[in-house]
Amino acid sequence: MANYGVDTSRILDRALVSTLVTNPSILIAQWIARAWQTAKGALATIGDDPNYGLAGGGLVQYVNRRLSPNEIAAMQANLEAAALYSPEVLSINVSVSFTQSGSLTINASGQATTGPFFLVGNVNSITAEAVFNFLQGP
Amino acid sequence: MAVQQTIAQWLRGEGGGVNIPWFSGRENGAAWVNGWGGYVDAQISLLKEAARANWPDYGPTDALPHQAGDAGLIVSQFEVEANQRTRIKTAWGDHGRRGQPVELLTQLYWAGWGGSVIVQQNGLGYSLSAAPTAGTDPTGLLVITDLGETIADLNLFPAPQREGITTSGQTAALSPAGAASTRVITSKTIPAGNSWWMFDSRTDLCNRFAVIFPSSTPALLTYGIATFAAATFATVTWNNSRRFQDENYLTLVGAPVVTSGSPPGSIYESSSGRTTTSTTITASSAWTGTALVIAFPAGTNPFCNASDSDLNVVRTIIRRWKPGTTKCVGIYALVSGLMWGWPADQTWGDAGLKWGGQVITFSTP
Amino acid sequence: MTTTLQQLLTALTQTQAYNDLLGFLSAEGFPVTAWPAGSVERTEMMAISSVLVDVVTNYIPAIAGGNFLDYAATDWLRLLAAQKFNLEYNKATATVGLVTLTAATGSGPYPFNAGDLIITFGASGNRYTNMFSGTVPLSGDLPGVLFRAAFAGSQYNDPANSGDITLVTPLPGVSLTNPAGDYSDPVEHVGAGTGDLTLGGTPIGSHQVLINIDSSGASGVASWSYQLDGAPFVSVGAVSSVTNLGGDGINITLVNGGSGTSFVEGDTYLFSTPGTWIQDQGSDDESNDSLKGRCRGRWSSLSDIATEEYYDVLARSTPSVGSQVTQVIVLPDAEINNRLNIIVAGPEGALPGGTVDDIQAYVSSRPRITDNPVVQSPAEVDIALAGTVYVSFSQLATAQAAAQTAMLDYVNGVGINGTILLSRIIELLMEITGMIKINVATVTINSVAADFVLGDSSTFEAASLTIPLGLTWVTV
Repeated sequence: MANYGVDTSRILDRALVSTLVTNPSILIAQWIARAWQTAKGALATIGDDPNYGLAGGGLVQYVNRRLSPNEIAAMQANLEAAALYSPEVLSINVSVSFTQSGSLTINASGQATTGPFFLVGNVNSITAEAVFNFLQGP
Repeated sequence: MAVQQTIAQWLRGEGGGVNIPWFSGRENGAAWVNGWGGYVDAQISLLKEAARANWPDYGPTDALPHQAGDAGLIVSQFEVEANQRTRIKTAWGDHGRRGQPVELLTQLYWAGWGGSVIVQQNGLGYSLSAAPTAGTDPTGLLVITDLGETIADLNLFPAPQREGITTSGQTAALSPAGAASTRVITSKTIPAGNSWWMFDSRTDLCNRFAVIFPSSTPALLTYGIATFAAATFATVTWNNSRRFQDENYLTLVGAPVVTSGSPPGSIYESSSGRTTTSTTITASSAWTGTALVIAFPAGTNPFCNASDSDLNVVRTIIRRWKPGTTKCVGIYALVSGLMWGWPADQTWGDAGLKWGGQVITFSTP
Repeated sequence: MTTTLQQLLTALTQTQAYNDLLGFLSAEGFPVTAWPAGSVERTEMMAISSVLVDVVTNYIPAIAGGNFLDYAATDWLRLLAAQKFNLEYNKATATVGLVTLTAATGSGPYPFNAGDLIITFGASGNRYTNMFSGTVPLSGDLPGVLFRAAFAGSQYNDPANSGDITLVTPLPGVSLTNPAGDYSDPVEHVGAGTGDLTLGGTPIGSHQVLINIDSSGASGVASWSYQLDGAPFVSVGAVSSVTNLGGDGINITLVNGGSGTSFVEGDTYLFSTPGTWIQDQGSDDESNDSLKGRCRGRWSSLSDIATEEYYDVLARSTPSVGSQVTQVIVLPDAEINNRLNIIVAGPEGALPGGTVDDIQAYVSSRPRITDNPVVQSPAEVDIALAGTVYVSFSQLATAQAAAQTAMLDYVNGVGINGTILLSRIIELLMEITGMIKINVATVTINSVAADFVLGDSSTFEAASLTIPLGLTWVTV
């Protein structure tokens, strides 16, 4: 059951100093960012929800690939589906683009039960590391 | 899981397992699961060790005395650890021979009281032909000796005279008049030519035996060898690490035995280097060789003395391993000369024998 | 709070562990309140709780139980047995049997060394290797070649007179047989006499015969008695031979030895019928139950008064026999005071005569004064099952195979003087995948629709299931 009150901040890795996230839009956005990094079914290993995560693997599955327009559309749909798995996410719009170096940029915005949220992700084509930014929005 | 993994490995997804990048896939997360998972792994290892602590092949060294206690055995400082473990594991066989002389002798051997002989009033002596092997039935080592024979009928009056007690065959009379009870002892005649060990004038108590030590045994002699390797000092460690409770004891430093080079002018103990388990021997000049050093408490015979704890051990062993209906009348250690009755074929009056000698008696268990 | 043994042995679910953790955190005022899947703290707690459950479910019960015979199993049990009871578990043994090699006319000679020849039994696929060297003569037979199973285990128990044995390492013109005569060979003799027995006749059924020499002398002078299948001894007097012993077609003739006293009072001769090609019966690693029984029985070895359990432990602990003995029952003889009948059997039923002899020698060296322990195998009783069963058409073959396996395991595992339950047979058959129904009224054991009781207080029997099963299979 969703209870998006307060959680520890975490996007890519455990912080040396833990901080709490109380801003609802950032809370949701971080949740989505983590879901996109996690292969669907990975939580089942620890006895948790097998439907959480990104089908086909984490974001790394899309790095350094030549995607056709249809594949890009499928990728966007996949990202949206993973985000919409949370009942707190009412809607989301994802667009992806590739830089000349092959790095992936993801722009997402949507509505949660607590209000709008935004996030931008940049997945480095060489390190496959993603960097997310969470915008407060207009 | 098909592959053996530690918990830490599983949490990191190494070789299969958890695959959540933001949880354990990067530096800090991996470090956290390594720490936490490693801690749990360590606890599991401890749990396994705890379970095995009671097992002779696996328990830690300091568990062995407790394991031995549970198995009804006494392990001593005179046996190596591997020996202790084997004995604990095979205690079943030992207890199957409880009450037999071979097992009492064997248990005494392990406690540092080897070389013992059991002599029974009714004429049998028992000893071991060789050192027993831990875990092996020692029955094949048992030597049974017919003790010396009586040269005349044995029918001695009980002494001293007691109230109401008369000599053989006669009914006791109340003495003094009005005494509450009488005690009658009829002295049994033992014909000449029977093997016998005489503890006293009582010929009717053939449930009695004694444990004698015709020669020195580790528990009775505390010593060490000082080994000099072109040096002016050497550390001597006592063979009996539990002999002394404090550093108040005496030493006898033996003559140097030179193995190469010249002897030192003198060798002596440096009391400042003394502990309860060792001491330091100093030489006036560097030399190579050995010297025997004996340690003993003041007021005791340097070559035959036992600590109270070692005596309690031998008493406990005798009490535990003898048949319930028998009585051990004493523990006798021969210090010098010959002992009455042992060896069994010793004839008194043989040429060359001289009167004298000393036997130390330790109180009965 | 004192933790009970049952608490230590009870598995913890992950939900319980997670809720316990959550309870601890909440009680400490932990500030996180977001708990959906994918949230940070929930994920960490799920990971932690899954680890804890693994520890509590797998490690703690195994460790706590590992020191109790009631709960320890396999690896832990073997350690416990060795450490606390000084008993090593009996390891699996390999079947050893006798094979005859026959060279066709003009073939051979074929010398061979140990390990050169590999044979396969067609029905089972089991492989065996020769143990010693020899030579198959030109156009002749080489009987009595010892072959050892490729691996240890009870599954290497191929029948005698197989008719389907092939050489993997070919010798042109050589064929193989594993004959078993009417009687076990050789007759197991214990004692100083120089005489022997000649056996003949046409034995009926499976039997074990023990001959006891009651008074010394030559054949026809020495008096003797026989025990058939554990029944009380029957004296035959001072005769040189007996025909149709017990009405079972067994003929026995006492044959004098070349010198010395042929038959000495107290000597025994043991044989069984039919014979077997197997010298040593393959067996599996000692079962947990058997090892636990020996551990518990160890206490009896400390007493000066031997109990039945003492002899049970001896029979199972005979050094050269190992885990061949999987069943033992000890019964005071119904006729002779202080005589104990120790009935032993292996995973496939009666043990070879040599094995029984080894056990007897071991036990005989360790009796208590005035005890007379007699080791013997049970007689094997053929068990034929019948009945009409209905099975799904597509699963007929697998159901038939599964039924044979299930029935073999059950019937042959009933034990010496056990009872084969009709209800259990029906229950096991119904559990087979594809089985639809059973006509219960048609199910019989040896043509009788009732439980089958093996043996009694004076006869000792073990079951031997007849295969293929006599079931009628109706597909649906």
